[in-house]
Order: sequence, then C-alpha cells, then structure tokens
Amino acid sequence: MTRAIAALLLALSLVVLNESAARAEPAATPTPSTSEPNAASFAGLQSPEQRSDRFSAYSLPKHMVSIEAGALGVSGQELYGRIGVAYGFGHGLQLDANLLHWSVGLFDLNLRWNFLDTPHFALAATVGGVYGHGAWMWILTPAAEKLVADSDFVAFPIGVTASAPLTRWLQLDLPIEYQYSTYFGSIGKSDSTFYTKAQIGVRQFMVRPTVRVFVSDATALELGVKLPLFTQVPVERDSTLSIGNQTQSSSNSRYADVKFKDTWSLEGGVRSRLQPWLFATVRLHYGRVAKALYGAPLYPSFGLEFRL
Amino acid sequence: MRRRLPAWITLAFGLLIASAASAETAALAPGPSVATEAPPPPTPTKSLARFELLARVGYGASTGKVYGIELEPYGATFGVESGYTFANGLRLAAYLDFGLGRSVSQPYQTNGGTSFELTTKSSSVNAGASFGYDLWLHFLVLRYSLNLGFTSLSWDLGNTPGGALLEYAGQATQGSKLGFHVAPGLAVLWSIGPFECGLGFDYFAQIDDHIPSGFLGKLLLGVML
Repeated sequence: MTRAIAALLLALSLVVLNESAARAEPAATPTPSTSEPNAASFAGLQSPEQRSDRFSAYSLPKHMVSIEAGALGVSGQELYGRIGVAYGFGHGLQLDANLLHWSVGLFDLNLRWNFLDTPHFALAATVGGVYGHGAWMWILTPAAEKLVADSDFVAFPIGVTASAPLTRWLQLDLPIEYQYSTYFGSIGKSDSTFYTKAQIGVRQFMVRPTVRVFVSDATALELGVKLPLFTQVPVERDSTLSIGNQTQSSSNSRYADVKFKDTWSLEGGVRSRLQPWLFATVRLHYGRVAKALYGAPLYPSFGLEFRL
Repeated sequence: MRRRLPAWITLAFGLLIASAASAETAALAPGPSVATEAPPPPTPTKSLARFELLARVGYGASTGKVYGIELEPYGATFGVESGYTFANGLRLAAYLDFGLGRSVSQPYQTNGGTSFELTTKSSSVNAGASFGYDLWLHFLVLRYSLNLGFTSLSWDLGNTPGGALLEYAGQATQGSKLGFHVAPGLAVLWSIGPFECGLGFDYFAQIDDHIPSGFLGKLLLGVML
C-alpha cells in the first residue's frame, strides 16, 4: 500500500507541475469529440463528461478515458484499492477493469451499456466477469493465502441500473445486481476465507439505492446503502462414514446462506471536481465487510480520478 | 519467494501520461462547457493561495479493537497545523496532534480461560505531512486531505497481571508503539478577514495492528497570512 500511496503523492506533485498551465485560466471543460445522443442537459458534475459512473447508469462519453487511483475500498471492484481504467466507446458502451486487482490475482472486466439516456432518466445494463486464482493473491496474510491457495473461482455479475437526475441538485440511482459464482479446488475448512469475508466470490442478489445531492457545480454528497436480498458463500465440509472398523472420509463444498445483518453496508461520501479533468472522492463505509477487511466497522476510502 | 507486481509503477506512469495529456488539452482546447441549458452559480474567482497557521481541537474515538483489547488513545485532541495552498487549490501542510486518550474498563478473558476486569489507559501523538486540495464551496472552502505520518501510542494496562495479555503486550504492563498512519479527511472552512475557522474530520487508518484506527472530529481555528 505504501507504494500506491507514493504513486498518489506523485499524482499530486504532477498537479503542481500542471499549475503553470492551469494558472492562466480556470480551464473549461474539454469539448467532447462526439456528442452523446439524449445526453442530460445538466451542467457541472451532472454533465456527461463529469458525472459519476459509480453505481449510476451513466457511461463515459465516446473516446473518453478514466483512470482512477484509490485505496481502502470495501466494495467488490474497489477492495483494498483501485487502479481503474475505463473507456467510453460511444453509444453508451463502456469497458472498465481494476488493474490493481489484476496484479493480485483477481482479473475483472466489466461492460456497461447505457441504452437509455434522457434528461431525467437513464438505464444501463451491466455484465462482468471475474476470475480469481488463489495462489496469486500475494496481498493476503500467509494464513489467509494458505486457505485459498488451491482454489480458483469465477464470478459473473449482471445488473441493471436506473438513474434519475430529478433536479439540478438531486439524483437518485438504483443498481440491481445478481452475481453468480462458482469455485474449483479446495477452499479449506474455514467459513471465513478471504472470498467470503470480502463478498467477492459469493452468490448474491442485491440492490444499492443511492442519493446524490449536488451542493455546488463542483461538489456532490453521495449516500448509498447496499442491501443484499440473499447471499450465499461457499463452505467446505468433511464427512466421515464409519462401518465396523472401516472409516471413509470425504470433503465437499456447498453454498450456505449468510444473514442480511452480515452483508449489508452503508456508505457516505463527497465527490468534487478539482480540475476539469481531475476528481476527488472521500467516503466512509459502515458494515461487517469493513470490519472483516480492516478490523473496524467504520472505515474510509479515498481516490483520485483522471478523465481524459 | 513472492513476486510482487510493480503496480505503483504502472499507476505513476499512467498518471504521468494523464497529467501531461490533460495539460495539453487545457492549453489547446479551452472550449465552453457542453450541454448546459443554464449555467450554474459562478464559482468564486478569489485565489485560494495562502499560508495558514491553524489550531486543531477535536475528539477522537477508536473504531476497532486490537488483539481483542479496547484502547482509546485519541479522546480529546489538541494540535497545530501549518500549510500553504497554491492558487489552483493544491495544499501542502504539516500537523501535530496530542490525543489525551481515556481509560476503558472491559471484561477480558485470556487464552487460558482466566477472566478479569481489564482497565486500559492510552494516549497518542500524531504527526506528519498533509497533502490536500482546496476548492470553493460557495463562500466556504472545502478541503480534501490525505495525511501521511506516524502515531506514537502509549499504553498502560494498569494492574493487569504481567503476561496476561501476552499477544499484545508480552510481559509488560505499559509501553509504547510507533506506527505509520494514513488519514484521509475532509474539512469545511470559513474565512473572516485574516481569520479562519472550520469543521472537519480525519480518519486515522493505522498500519501497525497494535494501534487502533480512529475517527477524529476536529474544530479548526487560525489565521491566514
């Protein structure tokens, strides 16, 4: 993590270097090369170039690239940290991946199609794929790594997200997502593997209502809650059959239900535009998942996003 | 031996390219913002450049246990902060906080099954460098910050039998620990002439697992030079 922090510091120093260019004028928003059809007519953080695509139905405009660097996240695509790269292909299509996770044996790729984008309502469909190879997860503690070392998993999250920018200061979002996952190999006898604690390899159906309040053209407050309607995690059990003096042992894995109180989480944060191409976020997360990952039920995350 | 992929190099290289490209874009294409029916309220154009000397008064609470022990090394906190904000909002600062901490009584059971009432007393000193960004929020200044520094934790386990908390303290009943922290924070500031006041928070995410992470709410009072 200290290296990621060093990189963030480098990013800040680059901002200082850019100061000479930015000092002349408060730079205007770069004009996109192609206008998106039916783009929302709001400005500032609600404009197509600046609006958040996190838990919203919106995708990046055509040819726009987003590079995010963040740390201490708790949700699946932001777990521990994020070096996210996303690209807008136009027609509402966007592809993104978390390269930080790639470096620790979690390979994800997510496609979004913002197929409906009107000034006051938008819909998007999302589909993704995640492959995890336990033996490559060097970031885990030795004990946790040992538990998952002989396992692989694949997960396929699919979802639909609705966004409604009702006014210049209020936007409501509702992502609905189902994730299917399956495992190969052994995940050990523990019920608390990294997969289950982090909820990355679970079968889960959840909704995540989110409210965004735009307190200025450059700053928005965001409040969201993750409500998993059901969650199943893989568990491995030993069974022993004794007949006379013969004993036969075997192990099998199955999926077990997890209670709602162990899976829901709440987050509140602030997102601001620091420069027309640079955005900052600070969030606080509350939930069992934060406690499982970081030892405290209340935990922060932060990040910078470059949009080019 | 594990091989660690140099993700930080990838990130730094990407940011370097991104920063350079965006500077070029800003220079070549300062076009109007798009898709606006009516412009939002204008952002104040007053420069953010200033030097600040701030007093920090706050109260902090631990957000988790360490080795099954509840420690409260934050409590009432007093400190100072000094920094410079560039015209574009980037801010560099240094801070020093003293957390008086407080006592916590808690039931405790050793691995051997012995139960007793444990009273912990702890305090902390936090110091480091702060990297931040200021931006206008109407007449207020919104400050994002990322504090990187060290926490010195002093702990006292009172009359606990020596060795009872072997995992945390070894045979000692009091001692100290120095650890690295990362503390993202937010603050809102209001300037009145050369004076400034504000409210905010820092979350001290502790890297050393002997030191509990904590949430610190703070009041800022100071002068701008």
